[in-house]
Amino acid sequence: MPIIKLNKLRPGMIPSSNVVELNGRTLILSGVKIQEKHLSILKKWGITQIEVYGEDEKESVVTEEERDKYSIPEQISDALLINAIEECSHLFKLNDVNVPLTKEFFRLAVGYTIRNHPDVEPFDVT
Amino acid sequence: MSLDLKKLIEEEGLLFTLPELAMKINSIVNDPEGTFEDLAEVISRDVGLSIQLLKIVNSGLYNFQEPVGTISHAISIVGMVQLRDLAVGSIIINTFKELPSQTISMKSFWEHSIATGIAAQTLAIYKKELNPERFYMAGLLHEIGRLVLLVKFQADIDKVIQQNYNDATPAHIIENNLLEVDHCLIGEALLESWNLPKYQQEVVRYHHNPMESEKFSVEASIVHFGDIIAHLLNHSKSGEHYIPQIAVDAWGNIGIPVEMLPTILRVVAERYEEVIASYFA
Repeated sequence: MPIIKLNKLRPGMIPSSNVVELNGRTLILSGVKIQEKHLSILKKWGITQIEVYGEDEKESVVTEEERDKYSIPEQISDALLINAIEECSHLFKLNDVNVPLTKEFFRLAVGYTIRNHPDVEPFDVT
Repeated sequence: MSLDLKKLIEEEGLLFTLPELAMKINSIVNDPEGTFEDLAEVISRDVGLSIQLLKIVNSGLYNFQEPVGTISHAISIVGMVQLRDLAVGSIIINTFKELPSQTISMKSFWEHSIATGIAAQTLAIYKKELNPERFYMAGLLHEIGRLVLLVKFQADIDKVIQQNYNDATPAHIIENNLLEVDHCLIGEALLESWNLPKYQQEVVRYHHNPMESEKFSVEASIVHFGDIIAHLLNHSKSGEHYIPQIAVDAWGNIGIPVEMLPTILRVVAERYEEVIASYFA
């Protein structure tokens, strides 16, 4: 995974690991798309470079159809969606997610897992 | 069953006794001669409780247009039974808020319980049940048996939680294997000892398998799905690591189109934020 210097970092790039400042506080979680506001935050905290997903790595992960199914906002990265799906698959271990009702509960659980993410702006899970 | 539940609860004595105030409130509502004024007087004497109840009645749980300023006013618009439920619910939460447990945080436990109560009530509203408010209390108390287990069998409960996580086996099944009793049965016995309504006892007993309840399978189904929704919204910290097995057959008892679920979850999430502030300000 490429390491990008701060002056080359652009909105839309996705950190592949948590961005942590010197005292250990997490500034941006992995998988959250970099937004304009993050650039100044990183600069303020003296971060000089971060590790991001490469172009090919993020393109390959989620299909358009899959994203539509969860109807989550555009700024949510594929990586975050994939993390949420993995987390929910674990939580639904006692259930068969192929049953239509359970499938809908699972879909909503993924939506709320993303919505409850501390770095995500609240949105309506539909 | 080899364990005498009644004895088990009695042995804990005072700890699991419903405080006198709750008993008094309950008996006024159960007494055909008990009046509106009697209830208002008993509740108003406890200032802390009155403030908490007014906060709840003025919260998003009801969405009344005009603010409600007194207990009498609250009873006149929500009714005696519903105010009894809110009052007894508050007293139970306040009584068991400080239960010492290293295993489960009491705040998390009650957050999950309150979320379940709100979700059950919301499902009942969309299902057009008569008196949907009564489901708040039923949902609130669905896991109460777990508190008895926590106090009585601390070491075993640690094992239950560990095994629930490692083997992905539902907690009530592990409890049965280990203790020959589970939180559902204990909860039912506890509510019975508190003289709470029969349907609430049954709902607590059958919240994991609502179709097995003979008389109250609809009520049990509503609370079952309330519990699932509370887990989904991420208030799942009551001692179960996984989302419980969804009783798919019981959805027929709810009779709401699945397409309504996103709306219902949104309503529950909004109400939760407001109600939780009334309890844990």
